[in-house]
Amino acid sequence: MATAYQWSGPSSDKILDGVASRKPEMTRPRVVSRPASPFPAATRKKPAMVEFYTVKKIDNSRLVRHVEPLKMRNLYRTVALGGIIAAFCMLYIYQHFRCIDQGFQLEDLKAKTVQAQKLNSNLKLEIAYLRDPQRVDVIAHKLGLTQPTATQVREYGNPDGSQVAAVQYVRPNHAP
Amino acid sequence: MEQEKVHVRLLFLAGFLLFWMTAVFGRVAYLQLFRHSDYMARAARQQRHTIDIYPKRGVIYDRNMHPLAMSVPVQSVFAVPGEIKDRAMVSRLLSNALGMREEEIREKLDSGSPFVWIKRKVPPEKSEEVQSANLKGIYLQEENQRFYPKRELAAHVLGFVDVDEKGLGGVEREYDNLIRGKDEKVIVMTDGRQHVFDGSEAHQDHGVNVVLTIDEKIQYIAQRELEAAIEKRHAPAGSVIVQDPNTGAILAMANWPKFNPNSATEAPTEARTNRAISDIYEPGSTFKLITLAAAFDQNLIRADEVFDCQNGAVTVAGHVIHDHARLGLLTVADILAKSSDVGAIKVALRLGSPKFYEYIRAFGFGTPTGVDLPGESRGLVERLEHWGSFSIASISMGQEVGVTPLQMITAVSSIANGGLLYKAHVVEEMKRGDVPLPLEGPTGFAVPKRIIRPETAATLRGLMEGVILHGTGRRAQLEGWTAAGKTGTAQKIDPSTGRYSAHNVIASFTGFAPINNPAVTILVSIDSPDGYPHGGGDVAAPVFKAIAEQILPYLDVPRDVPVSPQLVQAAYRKSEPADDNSSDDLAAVDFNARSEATEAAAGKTETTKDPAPKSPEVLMSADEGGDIEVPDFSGKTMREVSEACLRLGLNPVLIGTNVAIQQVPAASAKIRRGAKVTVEFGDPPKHSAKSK
Repeated sequence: MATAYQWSGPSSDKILDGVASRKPEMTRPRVVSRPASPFPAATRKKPAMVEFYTVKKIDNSRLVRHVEPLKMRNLYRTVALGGIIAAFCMLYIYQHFRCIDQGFQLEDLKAKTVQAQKLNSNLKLEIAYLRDPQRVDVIAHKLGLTQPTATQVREYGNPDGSQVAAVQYVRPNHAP
Repeated sequence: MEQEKVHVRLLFLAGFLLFWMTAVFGRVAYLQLFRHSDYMARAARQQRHTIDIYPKRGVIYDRNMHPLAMSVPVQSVFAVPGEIKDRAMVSRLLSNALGMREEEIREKLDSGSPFVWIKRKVPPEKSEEVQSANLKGIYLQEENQRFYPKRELAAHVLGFVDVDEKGLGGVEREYDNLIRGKDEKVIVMTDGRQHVFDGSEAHQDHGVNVVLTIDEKIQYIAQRELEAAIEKRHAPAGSVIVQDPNTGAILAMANWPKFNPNSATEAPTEARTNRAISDIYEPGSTFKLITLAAAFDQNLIRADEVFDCQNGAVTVAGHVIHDHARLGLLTVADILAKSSDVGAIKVALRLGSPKFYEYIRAFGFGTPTGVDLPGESRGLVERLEHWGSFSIASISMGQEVGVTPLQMITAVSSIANGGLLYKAHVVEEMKRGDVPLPLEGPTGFAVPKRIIRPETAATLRGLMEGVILHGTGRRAQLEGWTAAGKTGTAQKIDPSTGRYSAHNVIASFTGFAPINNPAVTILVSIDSPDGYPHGGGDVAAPVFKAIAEQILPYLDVPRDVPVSPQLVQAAYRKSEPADDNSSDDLAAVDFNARSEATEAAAGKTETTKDPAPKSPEVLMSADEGGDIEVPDFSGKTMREVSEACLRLGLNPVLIGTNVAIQQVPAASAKIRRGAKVTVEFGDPPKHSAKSK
């Protein structure tokens, strides 16, 4: 294989070593050998160029990015503003649907109130029916009660531990 | 190369996403910005519903705020026939649930109408059954139904409503526009499941609540006693009115036949008629009160003046009038007590037709009383220019004039309260919620009109007491209270002959109690009582007594006459803790049961299977009427009477001037502290009264 380049100076290793000692980031250049040209020397016009492919290892670990405070402030302000707007939007949406939900609950409570009022009306009707004087009169007669006399009645000398079972009119009492 | 491919793919994806988002947001923006109003309108149409709110009819209360008529919501069943596929099945199911004929339901469904009522206002259990059936095309609509929980109580006053809750009689009709309330429409918003989430508030313009002057207890007492009298005398009709003479308020108005307003359409028309205000009858002897009131007020007669009743017969304008007995010389007091037609005619002749007619109209006859009930009759009083030569005689004894029971009792109430004619009314007040409404216009209370002097009224009260004490109204005498009244036995026209019937009469009694400071005026009218005697004193007066003796203690009216203590027999039993299922207290006690010792002593060997319980007799004494004895004020001056009353703690009512000539209650009567004593003053009576 023909060497594309011939160096008469120090060997490439030495050169590379020197370069490496001077600039650690630099790597050895890689010498690329091309295969021999199939064409005869007479047809060859010029010698091929040497291409150096430098593999450069970049180490940015010690680099500190410069931050502009003004830009950061703007950024924070924009984020905050956006967050507030988003919060308001969320709040509005929440209120809207909460309102609808409470509307349902309110109508539900109204319906229950109406039901309770209906029940109340029915109970009042039942109470009025139970208090019907005719009904009370019939029950009183069934229980053996009679209409009171036109005057008050006082007991005299009832036996101890007894209670009145029934009363009937006998005769007018002619006072002495 | 690969990187380029990845890059291209990423670009393609980004482009696709960008396109999609552009399309979506663009569509959203288009809908929101350009079609906003259109879709809002569509949503409103879908969500917005209009609901008809039918007003709830106001409640009708008695004077003690006990409900007599009220509306409660019930369900009505309706159908949309277009939505029903199998009508035969639906008809069969509804027939079972509602208790209707299947053919009737099928006919309604086949009527071709898009909406048809199946049954209005069904009971809750039936509506639940229909709802549980879940039939397509069958729906329930809530409506209000009127209920009268006391059934026949005060039915003629309350009236009734039709299926659409429109008043058709009584107070329900008279104040229908106020009691009914106003229809209202409410807009509500519903979601897809028809759940309401928003809506406007209903103003709920419910009907006005009406408070009547009727007392349900007094009404029941009046109805019960009227029914008992009707049943006893097999009468076809009758009326009882109880009125407060000091205000004109109607405390009770009972009629027979009666009806149940809960099923008013099933009752015959005659049963729904309020006879107390619409029936016209000739008042008969009761009208003598008007004759004498007019004569007394004109100072044409005195209570002790004697009239010759010509042995019970008099000829006027060619007509011979007979009394019910051969009565000779009677004082004016006896003319009323013994109900002499001849005496009344003579008094009327002295009064004269023009004055008599003036007092008749002043007492309210011939014009409606203005009571707040529909269908009131004005009565029948011929104009003076149409009076014949015999009219004055006829009218003086209560014929040739037609009055309603309400007109009669209103006139008698004016005598009871001292000469003021109050407008009869059944409505005490109206309330919208708890706020009372002012009664204006026709519903307002008119100012009472003075028609006779207080002295005239006091004199008449004394005479009316005589009717009860020793006249035709003896059976109306109350135990514990003074009372005054007048009987009436008016012959009815026989339609077949056109003449007065000898058998069919209207027996009536109108009176008030107590005499001093009357609390109630009661009119009892029984149409065509069966059997004899059938006069007002025999048929109607006992009803007055029965009603008054129950109402006066209920109203806490103090007694003003001594009460005879009564012996009552009481049977005792051991007081033991009663078992709930025990019916011992329901068993009747045999007061005639005798002890075993007594039977053994009598030598009886018979034994009964169920020996009667032992009932030791214990005598109990009745309470007295009061503890203050009324002194005799005869001949005393006003100062002496006032001082005596103040000393005893009584409330004197002094009428007239000079010395005391008459007092109510009578001397030696027992009354309570604070009771009123009415004393009439005038010239001392001369001891020259002729024998009666």
